[in-house]
Formats: sequence, C-alpha cells, structure tokens
Amino acid sequence: VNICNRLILIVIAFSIPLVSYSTVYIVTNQASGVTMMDKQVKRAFLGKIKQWKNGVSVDVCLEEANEEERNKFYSSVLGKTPSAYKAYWNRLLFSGKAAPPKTFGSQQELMSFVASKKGAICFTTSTESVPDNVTVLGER
Amino acid sequence: MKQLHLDCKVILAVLVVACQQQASAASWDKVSLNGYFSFEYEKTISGDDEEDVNGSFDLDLVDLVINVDLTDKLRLAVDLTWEHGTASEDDRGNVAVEYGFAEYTINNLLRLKAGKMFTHFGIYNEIHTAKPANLTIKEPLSTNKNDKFGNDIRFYPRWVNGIGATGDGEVGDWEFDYDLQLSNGESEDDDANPFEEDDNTRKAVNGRIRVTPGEGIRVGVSFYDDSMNDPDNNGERFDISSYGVQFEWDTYDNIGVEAEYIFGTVDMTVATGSEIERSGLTLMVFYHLTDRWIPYLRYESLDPNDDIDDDEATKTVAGINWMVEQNMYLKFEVDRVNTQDNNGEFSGADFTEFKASLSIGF
Repeated sequence: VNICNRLILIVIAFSIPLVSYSTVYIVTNQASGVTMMDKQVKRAFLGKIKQWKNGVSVDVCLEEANEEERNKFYSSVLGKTPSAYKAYWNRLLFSGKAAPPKTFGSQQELMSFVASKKGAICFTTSTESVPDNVTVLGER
Repeated sequence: MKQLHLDCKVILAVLVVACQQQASAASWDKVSLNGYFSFEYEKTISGDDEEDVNGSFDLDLVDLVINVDLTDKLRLAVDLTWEHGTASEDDRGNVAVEYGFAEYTINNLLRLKAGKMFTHFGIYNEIHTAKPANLTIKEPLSTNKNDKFGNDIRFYPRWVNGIGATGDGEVGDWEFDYDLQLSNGESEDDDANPFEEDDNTRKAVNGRIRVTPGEGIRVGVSFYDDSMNDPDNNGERFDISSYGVQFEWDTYDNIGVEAEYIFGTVDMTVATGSEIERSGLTLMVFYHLTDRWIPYLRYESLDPNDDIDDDEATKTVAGINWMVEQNMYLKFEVDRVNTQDNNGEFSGADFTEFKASLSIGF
C-alpha cells in the first residue's frame, strides 16, 4: 500500500502542468500621463499612436527577454506571439510607417531610457531598480 | 603676430563649434538602422517560358532603412536598396531610393509628409520588396505589378513624389488609419523624372482608408487618379483612375486571409479615342501551422482590357514560409501561370516555376 501511495504521489506530481513563475512588467515615465493598462498602452506598442493624450510623444522600448518572458508579454498584453509581433512591425518599419521600438539588453539601460524620455513606455522583466519618475503600470 | 594669434583662436573656436555640431549630427540614440537581405532561386520546371530553364540564383536585395528622430515631432525616413548584385560599372542591377521623406507629427490624427514615398494603395505596394514582411516570395502581379501581367500601365505607380497626410484614430471600438498623397504622379516619357519634375499640368491624387472593426480584421478602400502625357500622340493626355477594396484577416494562431480587388480605367479618348477598362484580383489564404511554419495559397487574376477577348492571365501560388529563427525566413513555393492568347505579356504561354528564398531582416 505504501509503495502504491508513493507511486500515486509521483504520478500526480508529474501530472501537474509546469507553472510559469516569470513575471513581466510595463513601466512608463510619469510625464506620459499614463496611469493604467488601458487600450492606449496596447496601441502604443503596436505603433498606432504617436502621442499620449497630454501631447507627449510616445517612445516604445523592449527588453531582450528570454522566450518564456517574451511569450508572456506579447500574448497577454498584445494578443500576439513574438514572431507575429515581429512580422507586424516588419510591415510598419519597411513600409516607412514607423520607426521600430528600441531594444535594450540590460535593465539599467532600459530604466535610464524610460527615466530620460517623457513619453517612454517599456516592457521589462524586473522592477528592482525603478527611478523615481518611472511608474510600474502593471505586471503579468 | 598678435593678429595671427587672434585668427588662430577664432579658427579654433569655429572648429570646436563645428565639431560639437558634428557630434550632435551623429547622435546615434536618435538614429535607428534596419534593413533586409533577400537571396532567391528560380527555375522554370515546365511550360512555355524559357527565361529560367537553367535555374538562377539571384541576390535579389540588399536594403537599408534609416530612421532619424530629429525631434519628438520630426522624423526622417530613408530606404536605400541595391537590387540584383548591383554593379553600376557594368550596368548590372539596380540601385534606388525606395523612399526618402520627412514626417512631422501634429497629433495622432494628422502627420504631414514630404518627399518620395511608396504609393499608399491596397495591401502590398508599401511592402512589395520587403521580403521579411511578406509571406510569399513575390508580390502579386495581378494587383501590384499588372504591367508585367498584360497591361502597359500599372493601376498606380510604385512610388510618388510629393506631399502627404496620414493619421490613426478611433471611433468607438473601431480603429482606422488613412493616407492622402498629392504628387507629380507618373510620367510616360522615359526621359522625364517624376521625382524631379512634373511633365504635365495635373497633379496625381491618391488615398486610402482602412478600418479595423475587430481584432485581426482590417478592411480598406483606395483610389488613384492621374493624367499623363502620351509622347506618341503629340503631347495629348490620358487619364488613369483606379479604385481598390481590400480585406485582411489574421488570427495569428489559426487561419488568415488577404484579398484585394482593383478596377479602373485608362481614358485615352483625347489621344486615341479609346478607353480601357481593367480589373485585377488577389486572394490568399494562409494557416499558422505553428508559430514558425505558415503554408499559403494565393490566386491572382487580371483582365487587362475588358473590350479584348482572351487576354486574361491567372497565377496560382502554393508555398510555405518557415521562420528559422527571429527574422530569418526560408520560403519555398510553386507558381503556375496561365495566360490567354491575346495577353500582352505572355501571349498564351502557360508555365510552372519553382522558387525558393532566404530573407533576413534586422
């Protein structure tokens, strides 16, 4: 019986789907006037708006995250896979419609960009060192 | 000696200022450099066309896209392309400014543009050479390059040089975007350069509006209107009017559809007493087999002149687009072309081609 119980526990343990613990965040410069994750945030990441409601210019940036983190951000915030997002931006970029989002390899660079650009809005994987004038809009 | 010393100081000061200006001009945080590379293989595998019976490698494109955000409102966009392994000394290949324009943002609803731009018409013209942005290897002949499918004159020119307005907006839950362009239009005279001067008295006008009524769905209408000189008829003019409707649907994880129908006239009644009515159709269905594998099927049809019997051409394309890794795409496809005897380009030739391409974007 004991062995059977152990076997059942092992089977149950392996049956539980792997849970993703990575968290992704959207951060913005406070001067953008954006205070919540609304439709405008999604439109900004899709290059559909150039200015926030207060007239400040939109600057989108992305962190070079790993595949799991990218999947999480693109699917939960934008409703697209990373490759679909790339394909979408390829069309905007090469048709001359818009310049692509800036991409940063390090947290420090990204946060310093958000802090320096009034209309910056960015996807990041950590909020360990958030400058005073940067707001964390939400996490996924 | 004192005067010389003073002069040196002035020169030094000027140099310092000049160097500061140069440093500002080379501020790379305002510049983004992107582009793409496209390498292709084509072989005619059956039929009447003898152009590529040996199979050909083609260094199709090396392309650089430069965006400079000069201020928060002012953007300079330039796309430079080198086609078919350009070697100008041997008169091989082609080099072109695909676009070069300045864009000034008033607000989300209004951005003003000036320069050489792609003609904003339909689905494909603005992305026609950007292979990483296209599922297929080539853009549709029927609605984008009809001058290579039986017509003498395209529905609209590939580029226009002039001024434009563009913008994005929302009405309720629906999103929309629009484009308007006023330009020199096209020139029939090969010696004239429409990107430098207009050889006729009327400007070309074109526009497009697209509406997104739901996630992944976009419908749009376009128009192009122009007059051109006809050098074979003592400078008499003829008028081009084209109208298009388009439909795009992409779920990003399942099936997708792109459809475009263009119709219009070339009115030559002043010059030759005739008018051509023509129409083209493109219909493509694709399926996201996985995030990286997308098979597609496209059908194209062109009636170059409604008054001429047996001049139609059709093309069927079946292929697959494989994203090997981020921004690296391999494409394989088979193209079948069928034409009728009075078709101006192929004169009844039917043939099948195999095509493969490697495209890389950055």
